[in-house]
Amino acid sequence: VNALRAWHLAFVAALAALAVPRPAVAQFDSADARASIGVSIVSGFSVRKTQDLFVGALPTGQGAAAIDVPIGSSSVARFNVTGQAGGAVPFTVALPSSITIQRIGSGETMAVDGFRSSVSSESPGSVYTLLVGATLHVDANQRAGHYVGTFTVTVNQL
Amino acid sequence: MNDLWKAASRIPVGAGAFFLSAACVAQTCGGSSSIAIARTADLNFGSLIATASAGTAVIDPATGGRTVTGGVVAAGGAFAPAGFDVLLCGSGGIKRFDVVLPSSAITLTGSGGGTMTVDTFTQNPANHINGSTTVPTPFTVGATLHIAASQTQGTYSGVFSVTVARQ
Repeated sequence: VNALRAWHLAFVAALAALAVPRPAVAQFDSADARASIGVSIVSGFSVRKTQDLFVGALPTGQGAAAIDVPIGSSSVARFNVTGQAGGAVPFTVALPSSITIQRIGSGETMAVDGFRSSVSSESPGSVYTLLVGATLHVDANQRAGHYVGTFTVTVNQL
Repeated sequence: MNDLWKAASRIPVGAGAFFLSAACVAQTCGGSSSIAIARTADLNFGSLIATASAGTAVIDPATGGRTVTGGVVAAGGAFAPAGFDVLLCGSGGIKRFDVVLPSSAITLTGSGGGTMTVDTFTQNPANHINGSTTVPTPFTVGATLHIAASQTQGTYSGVFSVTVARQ
């Protein structure tokens, strides 16, 4: 009986030895998965200047004058307004009420007001040309020189 | 002899139990793995507008929400975190697992040329996650997308991998 028991224990030990390495060798405790990442970069609503408002050369000594740059003039400022492709984009335009322009090299100024705008559609729906005109006020004794200034146009997509 | 029979009979029962549990979860538990994972959703940042300044878009894995920073403008589209289901296989061991996310940036390639990177992957819930051998346990993954100034328009795509490790 003792001999049988000894054989029995040895048999169980052998089984245990067989069983233990199995999971350690063949079983994996991690797994992988893949997923895609996607994103679309689409065109936004933007406004870009394509031409400055340029009044031109004026003679001095002509007295006080208001020089108009009407929408039909080639001197108007031009902007490209681009919406999201594929559809009309309603938007509003905000213009300054007045600005001052300054003589380069010294402090003399002129006032520009009467800003006005007009919008035309260039291609179906999404690209517009925004034209901006204004009125320049020249003093009677305005000093000769080069006058420049900046104005901001804000377009707001509705 | 009685003892021997008892010992011998225990082995087939144990083996039977093992194979039975493997068969129960055979849908996703394959072969010799103690854990299985399946993707349920891809990571999507939706539609974004690039402007003159760079920025980021972040998908929150907990809320599924999207936030943008810098010059990036959110423009709708279907955005969502990635989703995965995890099933633990076999009845033994502690029933929880950890998620290992990409540690380096993933590059997305655009249909119109150009690339973007995605990094700072985040997960919900946090490690360790309690799992189950019967019901798949979901977790979600978000990340941060970097959009350059005036990023080329187009549809961008890439692939990332996650690893789940049983604890």
